Amino acid sequence: MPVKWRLRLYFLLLALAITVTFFIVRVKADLSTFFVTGTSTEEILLANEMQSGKLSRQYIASLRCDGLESAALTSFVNRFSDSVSKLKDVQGVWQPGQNQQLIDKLLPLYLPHASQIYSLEPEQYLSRLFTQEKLDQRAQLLKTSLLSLQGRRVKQIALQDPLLFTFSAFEDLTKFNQTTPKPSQDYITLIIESSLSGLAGAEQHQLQATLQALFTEQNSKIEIACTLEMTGVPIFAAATETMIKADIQRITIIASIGLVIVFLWIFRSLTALFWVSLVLLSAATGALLVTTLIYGYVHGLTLAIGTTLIGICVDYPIHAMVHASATNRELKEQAILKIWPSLLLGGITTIIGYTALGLSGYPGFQQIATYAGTGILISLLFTRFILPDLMTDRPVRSTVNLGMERWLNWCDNWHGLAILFVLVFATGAMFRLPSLQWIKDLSELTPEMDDLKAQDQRIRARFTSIEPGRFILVRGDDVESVLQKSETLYRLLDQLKDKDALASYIGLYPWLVSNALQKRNQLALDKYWQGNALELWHHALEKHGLSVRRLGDIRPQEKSHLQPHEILMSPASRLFSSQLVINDGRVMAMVWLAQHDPDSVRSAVNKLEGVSYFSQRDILNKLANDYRMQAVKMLFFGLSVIFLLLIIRYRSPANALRVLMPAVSAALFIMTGLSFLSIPLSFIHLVGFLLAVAVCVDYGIFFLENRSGNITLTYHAMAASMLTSAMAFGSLSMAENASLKALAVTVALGVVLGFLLCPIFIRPGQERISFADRH
Amino acid sequence: MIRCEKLFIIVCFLPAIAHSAENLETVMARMAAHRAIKTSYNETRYLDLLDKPWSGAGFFYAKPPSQLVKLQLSPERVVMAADEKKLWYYDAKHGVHFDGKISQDDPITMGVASFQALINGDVKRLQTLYRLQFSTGNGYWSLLLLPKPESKSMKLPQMEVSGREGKAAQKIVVQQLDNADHSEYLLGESTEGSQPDSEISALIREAKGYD
Repeated sequence: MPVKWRLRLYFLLLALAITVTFFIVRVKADLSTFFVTGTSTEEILLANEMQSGKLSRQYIASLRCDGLESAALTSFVNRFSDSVSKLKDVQGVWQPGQNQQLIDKLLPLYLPHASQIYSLEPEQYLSRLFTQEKLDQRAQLLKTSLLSLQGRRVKQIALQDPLLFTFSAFEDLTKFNQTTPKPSQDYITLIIESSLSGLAGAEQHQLQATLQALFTEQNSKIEIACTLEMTGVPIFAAATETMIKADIQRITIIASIGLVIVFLWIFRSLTALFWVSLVLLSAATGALLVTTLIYGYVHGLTLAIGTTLIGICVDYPIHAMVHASATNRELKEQAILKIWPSLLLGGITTIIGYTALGLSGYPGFQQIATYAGTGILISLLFTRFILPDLMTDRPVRSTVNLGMERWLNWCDNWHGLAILFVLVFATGAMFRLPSLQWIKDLSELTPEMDDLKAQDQRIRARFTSIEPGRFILVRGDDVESVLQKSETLYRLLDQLKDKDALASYIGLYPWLVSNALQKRNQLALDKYWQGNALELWHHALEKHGLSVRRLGDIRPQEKSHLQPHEILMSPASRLFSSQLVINDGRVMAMVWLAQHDPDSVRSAVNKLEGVSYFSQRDILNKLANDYRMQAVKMLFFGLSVIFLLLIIRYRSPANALRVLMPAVSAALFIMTGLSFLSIPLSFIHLVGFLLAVAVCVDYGIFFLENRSGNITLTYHAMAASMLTSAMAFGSLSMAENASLKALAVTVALGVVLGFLLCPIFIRPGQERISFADRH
Repeated sequence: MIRCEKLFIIVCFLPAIAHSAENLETVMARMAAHRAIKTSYNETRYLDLLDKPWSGAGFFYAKPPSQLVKLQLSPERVVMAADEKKLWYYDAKHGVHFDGKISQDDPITMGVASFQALINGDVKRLQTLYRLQFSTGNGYWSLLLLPKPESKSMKLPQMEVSGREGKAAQKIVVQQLDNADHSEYLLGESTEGSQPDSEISALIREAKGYD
């Protein structure tokens, strides 16, 4: 095809691709793509629940109004709650543990079933209760309760449940609420449940602004300034999304400006800048299009990390342009064709690196790998088929002297010493490797969120003593089986309480009781009320001046069992919504734990089938370890595939090793440096090493093959590519996100070191033409 | 019950609502207690779940701006205390302890709002919850507090405070509106000063469970 038509076809396809991409591309910035999940069913279900369940949609709002008297405070909180509950994105607002109206609403639901839910061990419970002494005590309790502050409420209960079985059922829960110290009485806690997904950062950010505005509005109506603090998954999601957006903007601007400056400094040509811009435009458009077609959207973090593509994608055309600039006009295409095999091999090794990255298992990295791989492929094709056409009949200015010749000469003159020094240093570094520090907890990867994490702990500590990160998970195929397993678990936990291994726990009992236990409770009671128990009870009532006529009948009133769906449809579901997950035919119940001895609880719980002790910290540690191991595997997998490819290409393991050595040594030296600086490594660093190796191998290939026959020119071209890569990856260090910073350090330092080590490890033995002679 | 008791204690500590020429506003203006005060009481409750009326006795304490204590000494010791935000109830013998916030959502603690209104002589606030009927005759004064229809959801009881002309309140009757349960309080003489003050502090600590 004639050059003219080939270029026309290229521009036509580019315009078409840009148009299609513009209309179909969808950029998402919510965290679900990058949300860490586990490998087990439970971990995945929990992760799903954290992403879209009720728990993820709830804000915990903490209000403080010093000096505001009670009635005014109540009025203030009610006005704020009312205005919040009217928002279209809010499903409900309530005060945990303080909603007396809710308890009043629940009484009619539970009271008729009091004889079915009163105990986890009904036979033992009744055998202890139905003695004259214990019934006397129960009558005394009834009388005392009737005459107490709560007399009105007790009367309502006693008329249907004279033996106060409801008290027994809720006894532990009441005790927990009354005896567990609330660290602070100065705050009012509100739970605000939104209807939006907890991880929909942008929408949640808008809702948070509205909540703050409503609070400020209410605040302006009183003389005392109240304060509002909030926490919850949506707070973290919105903060993260804001940070990601800011990072994308900052990195894009810095990387673009930096690259233009570096490029103009090296090539001193706006025409050349235009060509490289075309590469970037083509690569970015193609990457966006392919990623959108495969995944349906492009994530913001893919764009942020993909921005570094700029550095890698321009490597190939820059390398080609440097070679072309050193030849006559007519020989430009030949110069590019000459180095094309090196470019192709370099491109393939880089794509292998990104493929290994995609297989690392970290959520979202598959998309980054697709995005980067597509961009590199397009850049290669552009360099081979479009760039020569663009350069035809257009002069290319000679590039600026980057001073690489002096380094080449030094390496040449002192080669033995240099290689000895590097090998000694590398050996020393190998000994340092075992003392590398690793990040053990995934949460350490987000130090930028430390303030929010501290606020979260502060707010939660104000209203609950439950340990938020540790709980017991009960799983099953249906609600009934989960409830039955849970009830067995509660009996076990009660034993642990007796041994002081557990302070307290909150399960689903008595809010949800299995049909089996309800039946057992009722059967046990039936045996008693028909015997002399009724006589004993009447005697106890008479003794304490209570009405036998009104309170003497203890026959169960209700035969049908209280079904889970009745409870789940009632306001009671709000009280345990965070403890029950029903998802895709699987049911999970969570039992929250107060202060406890983890080892005792874990060993006791492990005896039960379908029940496991969960520690969020343990899960995160395990995930961090899994990702690290996977990243190590992928690093070796990537290296092995690249090494194999190089052996096939060169038919010489020695040459393949020479190409790899600069990259591997660079990674080794950076690891050692981080170790000396006591900076703990994470799998993100390993991913960075993988990318650095993939890029540095290109330099090794270019340097070893030296297809132009002029090693100074080749190294000069490599220097131009290295500078743009280092610039692009280095710009990631401007991000707030600590993972991006870690990538910046490893990859940018890696490519610089890898580039500098090439002349030490590789001796191409080709013609040397000085930079001055060339020009 | 607490609302009745609070209302009761405030009223009984009032200086005499003395003269028939007085109207509600002038009486309310004198209601605010200025010092700690203590008065004895005898209580009789008529509950339909009890075979016979129940009797108790003890002392009421009040201290401006918002502290209130009910110390029941017979048949057994029970302490109930409240300030502007919280309510404590402690029955040591039966191990019953209550510690809760005063909230409009809770009918049991709602009387505090009335208490606040009374202690401040805030007729407007009181009138948001109750319809007040003040009357005199035959040498007695009487203040009838009828829950307003709009405060029906709070389940406030009807209360009647009465006394001889020129004297402090002598009797309070608290009547539940949805059943026949009612309570009568007969009040004794009041004492003021530093002794009630220090007793209040000790009793509040006891109700909180600190002692």
